[in-house]
Amino acid sequence: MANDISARSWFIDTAGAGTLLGVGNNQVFVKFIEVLNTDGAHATGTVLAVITDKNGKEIIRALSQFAANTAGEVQTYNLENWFENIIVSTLSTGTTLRIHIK
Amino acid sequence: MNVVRVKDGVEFTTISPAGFRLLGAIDKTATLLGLDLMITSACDGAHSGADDPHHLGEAYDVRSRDVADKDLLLRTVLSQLGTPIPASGGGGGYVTAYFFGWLEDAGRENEHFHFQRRRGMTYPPILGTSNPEVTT
Repeated sequence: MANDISARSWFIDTAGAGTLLGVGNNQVFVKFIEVLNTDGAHATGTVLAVITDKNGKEIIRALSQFAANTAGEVQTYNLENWFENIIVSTLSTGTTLRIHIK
Repeated sequence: MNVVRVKDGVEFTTISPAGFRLLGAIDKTATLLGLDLMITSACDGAHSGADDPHHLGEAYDVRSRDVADKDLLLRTVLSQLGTPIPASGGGGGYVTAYFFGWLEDAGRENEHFHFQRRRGMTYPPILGTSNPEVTT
């Protein structure tokens, strides 16, 4: 699959250095972000995802809450705020994001 | 503005601390997902006997038929109550340290979301006991 921001909610499975929205579309209202890990292969404290704004200001750093070999986990971050674009700089193996925008 | 409504005849004769947490999570989910949600059972109904969590004010059913993404709703409610992981046992749904939710009777006429205090857990937790967040 690939990142899909064509509809609500946004589906993100590939990290990158670029912003999700193009230049000129910088303001985005995020209701909440789900970090979904389905492989459960990560040790407690492993970085599952890092999300920043376009200036590199960290919005979310999601760390695995469970020991390896669980059934995966869902972390939800209720943000309900405007952000200066979004960069998903890190995604661990087996982790995807659902970004719920207004 | 999206809200939670209660079906006619549903009774809230008691609400436990876990029940208040569940109701808060259901209400927050209505706001986050932009949906009106309907509670279809609380303390009323036969369920599975006197010790059923419904009768203890710590379980609620929510109408599912109007919800397009049912898994998203499950995840969102449980996420307000901890960090959900898929429930074991083959029935689907999610658990957090202290709560459980699933789509009961999926695909049938009686389909609905069911949320409750997790079986075997005390809520609020008793200080000094082992932390189930670690052992889930």
